Amino acid sequence: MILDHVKKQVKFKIVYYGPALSGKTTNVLKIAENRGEELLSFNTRTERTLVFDMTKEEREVKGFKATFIIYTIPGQDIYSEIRKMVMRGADGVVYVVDSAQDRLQENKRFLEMLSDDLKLYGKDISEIPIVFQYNKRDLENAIPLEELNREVNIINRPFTEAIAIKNKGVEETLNLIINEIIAYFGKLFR
Amino acid sequence: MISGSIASSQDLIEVLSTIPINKRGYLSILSKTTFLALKVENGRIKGFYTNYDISSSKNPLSLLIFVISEMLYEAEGYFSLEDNTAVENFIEIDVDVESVVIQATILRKEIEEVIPYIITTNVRLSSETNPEYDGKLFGEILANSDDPIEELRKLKDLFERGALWVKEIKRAGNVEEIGFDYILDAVDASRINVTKLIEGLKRVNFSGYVEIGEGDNLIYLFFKEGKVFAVSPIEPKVFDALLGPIGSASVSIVRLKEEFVETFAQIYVGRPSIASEDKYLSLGKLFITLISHKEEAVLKVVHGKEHYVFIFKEGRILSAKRTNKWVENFKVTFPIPNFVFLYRNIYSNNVGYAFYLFLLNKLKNILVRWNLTEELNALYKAIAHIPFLYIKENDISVTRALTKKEEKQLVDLFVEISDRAVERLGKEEFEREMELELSPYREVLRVLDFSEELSREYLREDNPS
Repeated sequence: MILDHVKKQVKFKIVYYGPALSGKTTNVLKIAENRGEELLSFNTRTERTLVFDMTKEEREVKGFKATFIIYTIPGQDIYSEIRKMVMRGADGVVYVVDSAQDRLQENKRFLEMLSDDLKLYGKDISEIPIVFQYNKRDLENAIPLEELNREVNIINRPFTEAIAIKNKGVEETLNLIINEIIAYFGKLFR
Repeated sequence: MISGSIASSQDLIEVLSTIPINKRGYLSILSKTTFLALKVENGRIKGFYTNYDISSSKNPLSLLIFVISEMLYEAEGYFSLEDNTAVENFIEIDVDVESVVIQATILRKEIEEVIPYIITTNVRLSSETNPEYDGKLFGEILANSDDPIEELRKLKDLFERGALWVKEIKRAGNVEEIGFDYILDAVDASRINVTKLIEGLKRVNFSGYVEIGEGDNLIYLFFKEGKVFAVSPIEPKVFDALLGPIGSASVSIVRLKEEFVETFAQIYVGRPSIASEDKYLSLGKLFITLISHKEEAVLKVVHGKEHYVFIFKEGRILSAKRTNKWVENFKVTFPIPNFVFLYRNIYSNNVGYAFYLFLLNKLKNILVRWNLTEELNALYKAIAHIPFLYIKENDISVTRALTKKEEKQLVDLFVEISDRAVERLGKEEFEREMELELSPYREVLRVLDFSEELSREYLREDNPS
């Protein structure tokens, strides 16, 4: 969060987190496309790390003008330093879950990594706003919702279902995390 | 002002991606020998300057990303954020800090993957199939590319296919050496004829120093192009030590680059403008200030038995470290200091006043021998009045390295007292007495040849300073 008391502005950082190729990049690409705007893209080996500065979309939090900047992390282990760097100052996390059967263990492993990455910056996974997005719901072998909630969403946070490639559930997820962030930080601004 | 030290790549990333957010000013970072100054404004980089020696870049952003990626390798140094800077020639740019750091980190990560092919990033490449890379430096290729990460991937592919290889390994442009070369290393002094040694070094236009002694009792003779320009310590015993070996003394001869010998000699014969315990100053701030201002200076840092020397010249750093002997400190490791000495006005020539101090002591011997009480009292009175003179173990000594003005004071004192001695003894007797005093040193003084020093400007009547 970057707070400017003089200008009464606050900028929140949202990070799309999750295993490699779970659809984080697709989500952010769609968000930018939906607004007809460009985003910053840094190519890691098999996927891109994206940054989308949503300066045009403003909300109000306790008299402050709130804007949002969205980041994706690189899912590959070799870029762990970049992942940790991107997580610095994260105000909210969209945890993009790959619904494919064979990726359950990886989804679970990345949640542990998220917890560790947050701890690096003194944050607790049980406190920070997090939304789970179960992506690729159109897969034939998609894990049932109940199982994902039981196995992956062990911290019992709000969730959405999505087919990001078809732009389904993308905006709903974004709105949900924005509302979670505003609600969480609204309490601090009291 | 915010400042601190950097002990790892993670520290450097923290500094780069947190400090510029919501702040405006100049972020200066020194890691090893690489200096980077960033003009930052609310999370954006508006300009940068680096001392990283790389040919001009078509794409400043690629240059910046490459330099940061280089700094991320074993990062160690200091940073400061200030409102103003002495750094000039900023390259204008307007980019988001975090995006630059992300790209530099990706680049560093992927450079490490090609290291098995290139060993170091300071290499010139060769290719028969890709003439655009043939004969080019690895860093230059990346720093001049449109996208250094994409360019690196192309290079990696060529390395893997054997279409690109290393032609030569180069020393990085911003890494220089003081040139320590131990010609003789702690050789038993009884095997050395010192006067012949000095003559030999003069003959070959030697630049460097000779170290004679044992333990903490070491004397140094500094040479530049075959001429002795400084001795250490400035005590009459230096000349005695040159007469012959003392106890189990040893001799070392160390060659240095001619351009750095006077600068290096500062730490032995110079007058520090700062001499402090580390707790009273910030070493990091000192480093960044000296580089930003492109000052010529020498920094000596003492940490236990280790001595470090850092030579600053035109925004570059050279460094050496001594435990038993001096070795180049190419990677520039920064010590945790106990004591810090900064020498700014490089003035190393002390053989003139060292010789007059020697003569003054010989004059004192004559006054004592002839029982010239009045003149002796005048001498002691002058010593009591002149702050830098004192008596140590019956010898007249100096408390510190002298300024040119102080040198003149010393020479004036010698001239005044010797004139009075001549008046009492007569010129002939005085000369005979002085001849007697100097006779054991005749050979040493002949080879040292101070004739030039004895005719220096401060001896002339028409030159008051």
